[in-house]
Amino acid sequence: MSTPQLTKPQTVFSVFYGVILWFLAAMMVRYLGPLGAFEGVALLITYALVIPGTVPFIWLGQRLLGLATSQLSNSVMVITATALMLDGLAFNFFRSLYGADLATVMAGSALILWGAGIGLVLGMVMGTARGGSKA
Amino acid sequence: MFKDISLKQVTFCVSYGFALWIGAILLIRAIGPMGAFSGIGLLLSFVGVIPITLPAVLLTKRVMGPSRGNMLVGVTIISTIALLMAGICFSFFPSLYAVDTPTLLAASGFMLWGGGVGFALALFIGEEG
Repeated sequence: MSTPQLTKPQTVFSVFYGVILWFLAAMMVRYLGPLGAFEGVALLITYALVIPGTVPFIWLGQRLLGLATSQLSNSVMVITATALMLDGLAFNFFRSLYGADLATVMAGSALILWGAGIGLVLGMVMGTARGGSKA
Repeated sequence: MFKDISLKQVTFCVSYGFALWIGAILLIRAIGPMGAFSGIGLLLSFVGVIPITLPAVLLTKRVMGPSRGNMLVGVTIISTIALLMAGICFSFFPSLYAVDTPTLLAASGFMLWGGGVGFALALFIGEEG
């Protein structure tokens, strides 16, 4: 498996896409939390749903950024790095973005850690699924 | 899937991912009560992650060889394991990290930041190599 370098515009747009996904995840935590998505059995379902829920975003990113399959895992790294760093800062310095209840925000933070891992796995799998290793 | 990467290298990355996850738990448990996640201590912790993460990325580069692609795959495997384990434990076994929610939340934010810093360093180091 090789990961050809991204072009400058692809890198810039990956960072930008990371910012968008960070904000979408924050809003998801903010609005899903009060619905009970982070409690009891619902939490397990939410964790499971992150897997199919992440696929369209990777697919969309690949189309929008014009990425070759072999570039996908590289771009996912840039996107994830951006989103994780913003989350790390925001969870400590702008906590109210994610919600008012501390326990819900905490559960959301754990969900985002899980989601980042899932995104990376999917990036690797989707990046090698159709001949990515040949590039 | 990992055409140019040996089983030994993948085994190293997976084991290293678990080791870093456990290392992060121990670190958070040790420095949390010292006030590392409040006030100025929090800022210092955020900055301190950068020099702490650098040797881990350099070690991965050494194990994965001179290929930039292989090094990035290695860092991705390590981070994926650590992030998935942290994501599960913060929700289902939070007492591993801390007892009170504010410290837990700060620690979780600290781990998110650390994951991002690891990737950023790997991308920059890979660029130079």
